[in-house]
Amino acid sequence: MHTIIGIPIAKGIAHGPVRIIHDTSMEAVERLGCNTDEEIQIFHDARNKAIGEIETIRLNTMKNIGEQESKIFEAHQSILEDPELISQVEAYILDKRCCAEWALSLVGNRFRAIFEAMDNAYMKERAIDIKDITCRVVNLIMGHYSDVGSINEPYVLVAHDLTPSQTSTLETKYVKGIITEVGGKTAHSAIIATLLKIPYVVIEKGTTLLKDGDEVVFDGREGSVIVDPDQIYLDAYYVKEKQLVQEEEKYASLRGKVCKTQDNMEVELIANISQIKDLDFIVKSDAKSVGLFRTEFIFMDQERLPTEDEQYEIYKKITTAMSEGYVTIRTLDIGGDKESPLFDIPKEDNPFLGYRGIRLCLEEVEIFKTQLRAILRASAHGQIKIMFPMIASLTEIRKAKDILKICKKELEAVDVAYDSNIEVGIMIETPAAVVMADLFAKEVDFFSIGTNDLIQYTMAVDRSNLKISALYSQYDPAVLRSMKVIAEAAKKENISVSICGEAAADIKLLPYWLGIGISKLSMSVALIPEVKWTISQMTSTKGIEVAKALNKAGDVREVLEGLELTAL
Amino acid sequence: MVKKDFVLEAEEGLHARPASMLAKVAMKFTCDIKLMKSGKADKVFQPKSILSLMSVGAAKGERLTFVAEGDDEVQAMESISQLFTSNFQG
Repeated sequence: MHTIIGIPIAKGIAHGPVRIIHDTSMEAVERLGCNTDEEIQIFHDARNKAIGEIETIRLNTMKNIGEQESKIFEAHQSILEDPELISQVEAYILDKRCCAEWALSLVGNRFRAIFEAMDNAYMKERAIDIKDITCRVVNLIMGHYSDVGSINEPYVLVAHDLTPSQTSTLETKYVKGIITEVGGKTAHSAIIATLLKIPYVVIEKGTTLLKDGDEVVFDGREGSVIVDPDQIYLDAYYVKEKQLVQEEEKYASLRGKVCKTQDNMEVELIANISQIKDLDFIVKSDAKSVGLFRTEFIFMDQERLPTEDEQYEIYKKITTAMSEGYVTIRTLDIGGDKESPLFDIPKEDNPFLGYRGIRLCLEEVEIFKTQLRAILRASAHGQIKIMFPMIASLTEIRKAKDILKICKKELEAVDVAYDSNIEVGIMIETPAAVVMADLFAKEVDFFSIGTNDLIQYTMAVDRSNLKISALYSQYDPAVLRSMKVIAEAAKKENISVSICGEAAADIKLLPYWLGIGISKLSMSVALIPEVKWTISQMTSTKGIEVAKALNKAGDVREVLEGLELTAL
Repeated sequence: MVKKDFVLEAEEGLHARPASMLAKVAMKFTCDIKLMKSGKADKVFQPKSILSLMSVGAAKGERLTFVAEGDDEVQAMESISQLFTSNFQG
């Protein structure tokens, strides 16, 4: 028995045999002197089997994600039927008398090289498709598992990373746990795993530290994986699993009900969304509205800027789907750690203190206006709120609002409908916005606090710098005091205030948020059930008590002590 | 032999989806079909092969020349025409 340390991603207890899913590296080895007829037959058998597997993925994608997204798999199938590919592989086998997998790897690499050499970014990415497809066939020939859909017994999935095609075929019946080498809590695969309730941890070098058939057990909240566990450990994990099941049942009992404290203070739990493909999960959740719709995905991984019509269709889709509530659309927040080749952002020494968010939009006015017009047009189909990111000065708010006004006039001039009462708000994520909150509150309809950036800017700490990352804490009194200042400024002007950073779902801080008067929390929908249950167990008077107690806390330790004391 | 020029209107160029549609159509015919970028007759691509089509690297606005030769050359060119007129929709 031994333990491997990992990073917790999605909660739950996983127990089962390891199955390593190979897909990113081709490991064919050259074997010469083969029977060419046999090898050609092996190639065609594997090719046909792969076409069948892709058909399953295509149908699943069509059902779970959408028809447009499933089209790529038709292209994958055509590549496997491709006369050029087939004839080159056959010719290579005949010429060198080599094995099928080696011939296919070489021919696949040749095509990849052609695509990789193209100067068109989109076509360059197609090299990945070729790799995806040839790897699948090579793995089939070599008897490796290449597909999460091809195993029909319970197992713990271990892979370098999960591709979208793999996450869309995860069978909860068989996949008892997930271990990948890369990834984080906000990655698409993490969101899907949380929603499907599959325990998930990240272990660097997981595919080499573990091997097929290893028995493992882990708790997705802790991260450590026990290999070949003793019975005593298994028993302990079974107890934990039972507790988790009971918790889930508790949470489920509140489904569909209004979120409120014991003394009937209502708290609005709304959704963060950063990919339109996650929309289904939002619609099925208890969130009635969207508190943060990140629009960066529309601009990332694209060859050219999205048109007004394309953006309009996306905004209309989400607004129509959330017909019972509203959708808060954050305008483009590119820059910082979010790069896109579409924007000419020169290399900066301090990208987080650089050309990003509203700063970029106010320079690239045409891009900004295209987005605003698309949002305005979509507002004719449901309730939309517009939110500007990275605001640090009143001038920025006024300039952005002026541009919005121009967009409205442009639409009026051509008789296009929009919601003339559309609300406009700002993200509060810079210390400047905190100290100016009283004046900013007079200019806008709502505040939304982006805690991730606010913590980083308030503490002046880059959280990816391991030497100082301990300074990054939502429990720092400097951060908590800032939150209070923002909440008070909003209350004074009678505008709404919400939190949309990770801290919104921090179970320990929930009473504090209620205590300082923030009763609107926006988060990943996977976190809503637990947050809702926690709120249902507390009172708003307790919140006020906690807020008062924390006023006197001087550092993180005192904040945590205060939270524990008042929790009793 | 029939020969015809088309201008590619697909937004992202001849990428995976339009290429697979074109290859599917071309495969239905027995005649020999060739594709060249206009003005660059030295490099010939195979419309029946999606890989060959994608390696054309044709962007929006590019002019493409198709040559079909064989029994069903007229029908083949007509089907290819339809794809371009519908801008690879459907």
